[in-house]
Amino acid sequence: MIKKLIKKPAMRLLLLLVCCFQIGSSWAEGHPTDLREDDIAHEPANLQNGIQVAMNLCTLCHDLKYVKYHDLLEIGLSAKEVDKIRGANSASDPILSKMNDKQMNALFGMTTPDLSLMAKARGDGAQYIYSLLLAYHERRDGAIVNNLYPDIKMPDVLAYSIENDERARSAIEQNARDIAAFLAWTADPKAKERRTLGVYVMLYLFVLTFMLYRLKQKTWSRLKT
Amino acid sequence: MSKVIQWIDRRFPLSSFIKHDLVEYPTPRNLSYWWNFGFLAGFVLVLQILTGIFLAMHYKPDASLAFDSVDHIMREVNYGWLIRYMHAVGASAFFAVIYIHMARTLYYGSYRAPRELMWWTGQALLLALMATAFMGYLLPWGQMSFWGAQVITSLFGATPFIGDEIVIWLRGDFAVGDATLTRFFALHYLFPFIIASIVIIHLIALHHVKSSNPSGINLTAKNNIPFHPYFTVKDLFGLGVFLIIYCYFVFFSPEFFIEAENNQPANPLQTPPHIVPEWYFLPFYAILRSVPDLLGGVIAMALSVMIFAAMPFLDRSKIPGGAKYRPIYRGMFYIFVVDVVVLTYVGAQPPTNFWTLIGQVATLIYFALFTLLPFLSKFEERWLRKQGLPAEVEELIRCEEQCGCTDPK
Ligand code: HEC
Repeated sequence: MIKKLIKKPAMRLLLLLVCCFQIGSSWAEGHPTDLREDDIAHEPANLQNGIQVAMNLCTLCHDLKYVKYHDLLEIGLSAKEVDKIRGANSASDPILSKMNDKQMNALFGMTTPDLSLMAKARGDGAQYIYSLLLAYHERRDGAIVNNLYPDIKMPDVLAYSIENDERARSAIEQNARDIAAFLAWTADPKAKERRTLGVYVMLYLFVLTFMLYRLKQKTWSRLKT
Repeated sequence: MSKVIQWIDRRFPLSSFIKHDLVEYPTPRNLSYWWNFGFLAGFVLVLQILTGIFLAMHYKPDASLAFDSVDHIMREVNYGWLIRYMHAVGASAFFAVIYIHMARTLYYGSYRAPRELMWWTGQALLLALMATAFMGYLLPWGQMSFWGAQVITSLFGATPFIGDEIVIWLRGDFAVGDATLTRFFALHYLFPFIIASIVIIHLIALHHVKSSNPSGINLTAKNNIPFHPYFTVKDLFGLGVFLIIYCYFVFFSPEFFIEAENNQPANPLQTPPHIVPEWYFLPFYAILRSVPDLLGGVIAMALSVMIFAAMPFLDRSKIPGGAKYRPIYRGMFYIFVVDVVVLTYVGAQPPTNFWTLIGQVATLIYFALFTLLPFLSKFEERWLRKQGLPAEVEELIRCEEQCGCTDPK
């Protein structure tokens, strides 16, 4: 049976492609990245902590312009909490930085990038953001540099590089993970809906395709006689 | 109901069309699953047109609004994310299906007489598809959209004497900008309908010469079976398998085919670290980059796409049955497939010395295969005939030599 399959040109081609792909991807794996590898949890509690930190800190300098305040209801904030976050803004306003472009330019010599899609705009998005925020360290001469993005104009906003207490450091790490989880949500807010719907679609397709296969077998068996 | 059909039939050959071309249409019974991909390509075309029309209802072809309007589709339009991801994954699916369809044609020699016109309309479809995909990729107005279009349109600048004028004419401006976006949108909406009309010509030709089949020998009437129900059900089963793979990407890995960089709005002042086209252009892009001279590279790239059209002339063997009965041709086919995979990989790498060298070797192999084909195919034919072919195959070759009649009759 297997021998017969391998003899088929189709199968040979497939095998060939699989081999190529294998070789290719094992090559690609040869270059490890500097990203942190621990898992980022995407539970509601993480997202909500992420929002709080992001709202207090990141939106000082960054826009989240594709997210509106009322969108935050979708990840389980109550209307009251959203009201508190939005302050004087209307619930249907986009989340914008407190700084305008001019101030940003004066401070950093550039406008800061919008964060709404950041988790999709970099390879390994969430993992990248998480790692980036913690990649700051103090050089011997006292300068604070970022390993992942050496010339970055963003300061060490979580103050990770100057924190020496282990407990405080791990709290900052947790915050960084939660911010990353939150930004993963802002980049792809329909992910959950998509996957849920996807499961049903796939189940339906499996059943349908199986039935079509049986129908095909039955139809074609008439031919042999 | 039957009255209505009668009324129509007196004025338009509806029933006879359905009977001849959909139901009774004689089809070789030995077609393998590789013959499913033509139907799949047609299905994806319809899918792209439908999802595209719905996207166009919310999309704004304006450089200051395009990126935001795509995000609006993703977040606010009901099931906009689904339609957009279907369209984006659909583009990749289209190329995957078309490339397999072409590989099948190459393997089984289906481009040979009397199917040259099918092959050439297919070549036209490939070009139109590439143009459509290229223009569609600009529309989200992300970084890769912008810079991809910038790089590819600038290639036309290699044209001697009037290069600069052509580039400006294509872009509608000195650099890719609002004018470019608007015209790409207009053409991206138009081209699928041109594709659909070429498909109709492709199908008329098909129904005239009938399907080729794995044996390469034209079958006697008793080996043909009606299209319906045998191939309708087989195509539907194939469609099911296709949809499983397609929906896996749409629902679980929709950004797989989208460059991360493209989730950042186009910024004409900031060139991305390395600009890569979509995966389906990578082999040709690798060929472009492996020629040191720009004009030479553009010519090599254009040639690498267009050279398929020459296949009916390059393959001079009269042995029927494509690669199946032709060991040398079969070897060349597999080398070609591996070579294209290598080129795809190289096309995605930054142009370091090492990758450029690999790309150059692969490019040489690519063109060497086509250049050597006329000689190798003739040599192979002589060699096989000296070894002795089955009588009926010799008979077929003789018949073809006499009257050029690989006609079904
Ligand atoms: C003091 C202002 C400031 C604050 C607060 C701030 N950022 Fe930034 N951020 C910047 C600037 C400036 C840049 C642009 C850096 C560059 O490209 O050189 C930036 C860039 C980034 C980038 C993009 C890096 C890249 O690869 O281009 C990310 C991601 C980011 N910030 C995340 C955050 C997160 C998450 C927070 C909240 C914890 C935050 N930032 C808070 C100023 C700030």
